[in-house]
Parts: sequence; C-alpha cells; structure tokens
Amino acid sequence: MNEAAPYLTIRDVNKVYGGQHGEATTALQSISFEVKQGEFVAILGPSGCGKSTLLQIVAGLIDATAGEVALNGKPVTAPPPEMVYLFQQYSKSLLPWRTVEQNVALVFESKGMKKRDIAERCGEYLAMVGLASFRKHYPWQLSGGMQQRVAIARALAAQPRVLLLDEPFSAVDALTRIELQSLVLDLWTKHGLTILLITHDVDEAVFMADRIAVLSSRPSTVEMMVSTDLPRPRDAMATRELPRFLQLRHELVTHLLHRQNAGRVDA
Amino acid sequence: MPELGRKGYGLLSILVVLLLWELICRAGLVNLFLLPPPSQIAPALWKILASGSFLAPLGQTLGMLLVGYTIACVAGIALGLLMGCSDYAYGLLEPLVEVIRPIPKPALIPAMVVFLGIGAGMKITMVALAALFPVLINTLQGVRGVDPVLLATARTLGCSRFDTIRKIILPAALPMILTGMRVSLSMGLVLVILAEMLAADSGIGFLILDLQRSFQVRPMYAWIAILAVVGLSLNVLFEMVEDRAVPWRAK
Repeated sequence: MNEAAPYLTIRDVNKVYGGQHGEATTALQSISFEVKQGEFVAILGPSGCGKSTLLQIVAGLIDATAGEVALNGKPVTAPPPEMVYLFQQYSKSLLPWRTVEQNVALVFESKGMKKRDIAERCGEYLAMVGLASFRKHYPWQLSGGMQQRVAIARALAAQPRVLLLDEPFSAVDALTRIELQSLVLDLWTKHGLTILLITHDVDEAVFMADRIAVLSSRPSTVEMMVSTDLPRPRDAMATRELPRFLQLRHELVTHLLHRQNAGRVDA
Repeated sequence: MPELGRKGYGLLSILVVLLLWELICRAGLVNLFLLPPPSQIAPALWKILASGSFLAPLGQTLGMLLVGYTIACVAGIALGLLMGCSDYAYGLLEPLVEVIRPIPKPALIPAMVVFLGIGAGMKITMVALAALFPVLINTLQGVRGVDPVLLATARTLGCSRFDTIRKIILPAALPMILTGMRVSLSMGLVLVILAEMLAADSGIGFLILDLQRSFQVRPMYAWIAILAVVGLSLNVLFEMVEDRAVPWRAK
C-alpha cells in the first residue's frame, strides 16, 4: 500500500445555509484535508461550528454547496457502501421495535442473506462489542453505553472501510466513555479501518487520533492540523500521563480558550 | 394507591350518579315514564341479555363497523404512507383530503342513501369515510415525524427505499397510526349508529330509535347501556392491542 496516497480527500468544501429570502449563513468555508488509508483523524471544534455538517457531507448524507469529497478517487455523491456514519444519538439511531440482534440484522437483511447466517453473523459482531449475551434484549432495556455498543456493532456489520464517528461518546458517562474509546481503538486496529471522529473533547481527540484537524467557529475552516505522534497501542491510563499527551492537550486547550475569549470581546 | 384500589375508587363516581338518578326518580321530580330509574331499566336490560335477543342487532352493528373500519384503516395507512413518502402524491392528494376532511360526515348520510340505499353498502361506506381521515392524517404525521437520524442511519447502512419504508418508516410511525386508529374506532361507532338511525331497518341504532318511537322507554335505555359497554370494550381491546404492538412507546 502506498503510504502517501490520500484515501479520503476533502477539497474546498463549502456549505451555505439559507439565501434566497433569508440571510445566508456560511457554515463551512474552504475546508480541505486528506486522510490516508488506515488513519485515525479527529476533527476538533467548538459546539455549533458545523462539525456534524462536515461529516455528513463526507458521508454523502447531505450535499456541499461547493467543493468535493472523494473516496479512493471517486467523488462521493450518495452514501457509499464503504462508509458508515455513526450518530451521537444512539437512542435515535437504534430501532426500538427490534431486539439488539435484529438491529444488527438490518444490515444483513438488505444484502439478502439467509436467516440462519444472519443470526450467526449478528452473534459475531455483538461478541466484538461484548454484548453477546444481550442479543434478545431491546435497546431501551440497555444503558446508554450499551446502546452505543449496539450501534457500533451494527456499523461494523456493514463492513465499512471508513467509519465516520459523530461525537459517539458525548452522551455517555465519563467511565463508559473511556471504555468505549479503547473499544473503538481496538476495533480500528483489528479491522484496519480508517476513522474520522468528530469531537469537542480535546482529551479524546489527543488520546485517539493520529492527526487532529482543529476547526474554527463559523464560518468554519481548518485552523490547524496537528500530528499527535503518540505511541500505539494507546492505554487509557498510561497514554494520558505521557509528557507529549499533556503538552498537546495544553496547547490545544489554550488555543481553544484563547479563541473563545477573543470571540467574546467581539460579541 | 394500588391499581385495584384506584379502579374501585373510580367506580364510586358511577355509583353516585346511578344513585342520584334513582333518588331523583323516587322523589317524584321527573315523569317516571319518560325517565325511568336504573332499578326499572335493569330488569329490561336483563330481559334483553337473558333472551339472547341482543345478539342479532349487536352482530349486525359490529359487523358493519368492522368492515368499514378495516377498509378505512387499510386505505388510510396506505394513503398516509404514500403522501408521507412522496412529495408528488402529497401535492396531488393534499387539496382533495383537505376539501373532504372538514365535511361533518353525518351530513353525507342522506347523499349516500340516494345512491347506495339503506343497506350494508351505505353503512359500510359511511363508517369507512368517517374512519378514514383520522388514520390517514395520523399516518401522514407519523411518517413525517420519523426522526431524521433514523432515516440517515438507514441510508448510511445501505437500506433500499422500499426496505426503509417497510422496516423503518412504517414501524416508527406505528404509535401515531394507532392513535389515529383509536380515534377512528369511536368515529366509526358514532357513524354506524347514526346511519342506522337515519336510514336502516336493522342494527342497534335503528332499534333505539324504533323503541323511542313506540314509547318503549325502558328497553331503549337498556340498549343505550349496551352501547356504552360496547364502546368501553372496544377501547379496552384497542389498548391491549396497542400495548402489544408498541411496547417501546412507554419508554
């Protein structure tokens, strides 16, 4: 595999809302960056900076006003089968009328697989996220963290090459978040995935990613691109105590705080 | 308060009303022939129940209701889904729906009698017309109210349009559809009774009016009591179906 070849290319992406009658709002302005195959890139930015909009454009779920997203050289105009988007709101993305197993099965059903094979595959994917014994439960019978695990299992079952994570851990408690971060890193390594993660949590971005794209507030642009250069595999405790981790976190938090304060003076 | 205790407590208000009714009659405040006390209606009711003579009119009325209601539910869900999923269908049908929907449906009974007569066809049509719109409107709203996150999830997981409608939109709209169906059921009951009163030669509605016109006031009240039980039973039955169909709604 050619190390330098970009796998996912985001080129000059713009998103403008409104116009015509109301006032037009520019959410994203000339966003460009590239992601290599197997890379883990975090997109860090304050709330309301259009991170989700950007990720949904990458996923082919919404159209950019201008610019282009290309996966493996092909422009993305509709959700490509190689990419799966994981929403923050697990409670809304799971089907409450289906059991945990049936939620995962949704992916296989659309591929026309046999029932027995489906059950077997669902079992495999649920085991990967540690939910093998909860296959007959309904999502609303599970805790938030477990529900997000189901959503992760379902996303993996679609056998994506690229996983797009939209603040997937921001709605769970702190301990569960740490567990899920390690789980996703583990799955990322095992499945050779390319991951694009949106987060407003500096700690999370530094802990998980190879590179961090820092977005400015609206209209959002990529303000800086930082390589974390932290060793892998990453450990929930040890990695967070490395000098490099602390230094990066310090720099990024300082940067974000400084900008926020500057914004306050303007407003 | 424990469940049984609360239900027993609620029965108290019914008993108080019956007791007041009885007392007003016994005190001679009303003409007993025009408003007989519960103690005189009860034997009339017992006579109807014990002789089994309630079966034919009840079956007749419920039969018309069931057929018309089923047609309305199937058509209402189908049209609601179509209008909710296709902008073309919505643009085409919405004006038509908005013109027919506000017509108080009983006003159509005379018109229906003109070309359908006073038989089953007219009653079924009236029930179906009245029951159609709550199901249709609620289905439409249910479909439109499906969470965008759910729809985007279906797209990113590669579900086809047909699969998305069948496996995601329809079940997600089910709570709303059932709400519409519940409203429709009471509307249907109202319309079938009214149609039987205005233009029919059988059924409970016809019977109540017939008894009134022949001054058989006690059996008339007995039939009204039977109708109350019918309405209540339909509601309880519907609630049981609802609880089974959408167990996640309570969560």
